[in-house]
Amino acid sequence: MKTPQPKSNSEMLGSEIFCEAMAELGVDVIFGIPGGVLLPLYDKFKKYGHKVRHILPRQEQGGGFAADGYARVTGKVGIAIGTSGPGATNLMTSIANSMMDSVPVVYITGQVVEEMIGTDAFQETDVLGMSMPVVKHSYFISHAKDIVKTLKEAFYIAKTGRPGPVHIDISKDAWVTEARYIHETEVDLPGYNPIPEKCSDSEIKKLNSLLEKAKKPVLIAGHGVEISGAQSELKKFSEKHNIPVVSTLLGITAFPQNHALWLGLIGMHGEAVANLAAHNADLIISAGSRFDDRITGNLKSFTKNTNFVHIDIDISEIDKNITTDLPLPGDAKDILIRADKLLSSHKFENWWHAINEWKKKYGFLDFSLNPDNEKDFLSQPRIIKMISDATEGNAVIASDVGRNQMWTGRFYRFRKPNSYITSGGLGSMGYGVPSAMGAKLGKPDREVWAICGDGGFQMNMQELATIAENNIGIKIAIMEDASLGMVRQWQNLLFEGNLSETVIKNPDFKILASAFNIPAWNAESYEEAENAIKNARDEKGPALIAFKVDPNEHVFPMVPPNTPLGEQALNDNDLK
Amino acid sequence: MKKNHHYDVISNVQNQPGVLARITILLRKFNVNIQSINVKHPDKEKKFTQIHFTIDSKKNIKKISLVMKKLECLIPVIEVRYKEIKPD
Repeated sequence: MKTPQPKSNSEMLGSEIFCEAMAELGVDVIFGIPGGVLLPLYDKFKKYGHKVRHILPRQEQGGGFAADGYARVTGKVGIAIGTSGPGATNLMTSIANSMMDSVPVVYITGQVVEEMIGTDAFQETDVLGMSMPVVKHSYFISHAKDIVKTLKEAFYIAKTGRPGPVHIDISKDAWVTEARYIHETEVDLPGYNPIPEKCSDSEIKKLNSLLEKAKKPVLIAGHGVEISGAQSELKKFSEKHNIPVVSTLLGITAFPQNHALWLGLIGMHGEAVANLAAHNADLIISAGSRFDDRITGNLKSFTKNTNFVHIDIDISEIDKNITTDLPLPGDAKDILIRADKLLSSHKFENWWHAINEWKKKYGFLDFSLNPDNEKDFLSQPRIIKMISDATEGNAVIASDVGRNQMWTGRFYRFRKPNSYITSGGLGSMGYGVPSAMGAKLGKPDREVWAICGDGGFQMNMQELATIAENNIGIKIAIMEDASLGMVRQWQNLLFEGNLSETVIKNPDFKILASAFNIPAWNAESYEEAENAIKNARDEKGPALIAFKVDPNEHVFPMVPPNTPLGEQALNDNDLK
Repeated sequence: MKKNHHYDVISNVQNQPGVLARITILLRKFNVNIQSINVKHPDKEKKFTQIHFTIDSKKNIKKISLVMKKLECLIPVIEVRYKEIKPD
């Protein structure tokens, strides 16, 4: 078949317009898999390869997660492409993931020619209908003339306000029709207000009287602080008022972890002292967090006798899970800068005395809740601490979902912002390896580790091929416990140890990696673990380590569902 | 059993394919039932559409306000007004 060519000089084919627009929008990498309806587009990728790099994942979900990881570490818009039908349906988990965690990714799906839509044509699926509940916005286009305007709007929507995924379903006609490339396009979105109406100084000043009244305040640092780039403003605010800071999982690098005011991760598997502080607080100021059930525990108990101040750019989050005493809608950075000018300073010495007593009693950022595990196995939190020490906290860590995720949040001591990428809201296993791949392509100069369980790793292990093919130098740490570990923990503790379908038989991960020519090691002792971490870091390209960890080592504290944060279980006996 | 509350909702939206689908998908998520729906163009150019719903839900006015805020967050939705009404 002859490649379609534009008929006149002033007009271009849709496929070329798309590639030009990608370059104009500053896209440097696309994660995509071709297919029937995308053939005219892919026909042009070679020509534009010097401007926009194309990475071919081995399954669309891997490509979607890679674009999501890329967007999180760079702050830029990620791009993932899948063909019509199965290519598009494979992207759905990733779209939902970007939505839950407010990540700016533009997802492009191919669609059959417009005339055939509705005929149940080969690889036709109503993917726009499927993605509608899990996107910030979506579009369908079928002509070249709409490509530039739609892409520009999509990027604008994805990136501004509370970021999120935008899905564009593009029928094959769009690639083969022609139009002029128009650089100047107007964004026509009368219903879109990315930043809510600015809250007044007098509203912000009301925080003064709440702080005057408070004896036990806590500041929650959420993902919104990182998105807003308000890390130093948050630090200044907490220092001025001497308020303890707890972090959500996605906000774990929003506040310096070596700071005296930091109490660690809050929530279901948070630091004991962070949970006790939030449970006993009489004033909670949240910046860029949405009071997810994993951080509040039992809501009644969380909100009892507590005043709430909620800083959030998304007004539909305010008063959603908790009733707010002082809503401060807006961008976290703007509000914290103004608050610094408008508020007088405070000290909460008695409160700090109580907090320091809890630290002594329950330990802080240490292994006091993970005493010696079974001698035959390695301890997972200790391995994560070893990786943290070896990399001096400077790596980007992409974790999977489960125990590895919780222990990474607790025991990797991050020293740089935007460095922990994980599937927080959706909790999608299989996120670790592909998102690390995307992060490394976005930030090639940074050391990137994927920390996975053996279950999550196997959900997207096909991406080893992508990593090997493109020599993407990520280090993969598999916590091999032959279990779906977090579910096993719940079965151990809440279902009388009935291990229903959580024990798995693994392949030999070292041999598996060697099939892709990826250097790999097994580690069964701490000495082997230390050597393997060193060897992996010495490799310029990718490397993999399988650590044989204890399947029965549980993550504590644990706040079982609907339990007050203050009643967190600290060991197995607390749950018997 | 919790009694149902009834609401009158007027939303102004951009006149585009799929806008009604976005709205009804959101209402379904919150298990809101649509009793009546009326659609018209408030402007000559038909750039906009006014959608008038009556809905019923177990959610009280405070909880339905969250649904309305989420409706307002939909990109093609320009404004949403709502009030509780007595059932017919």
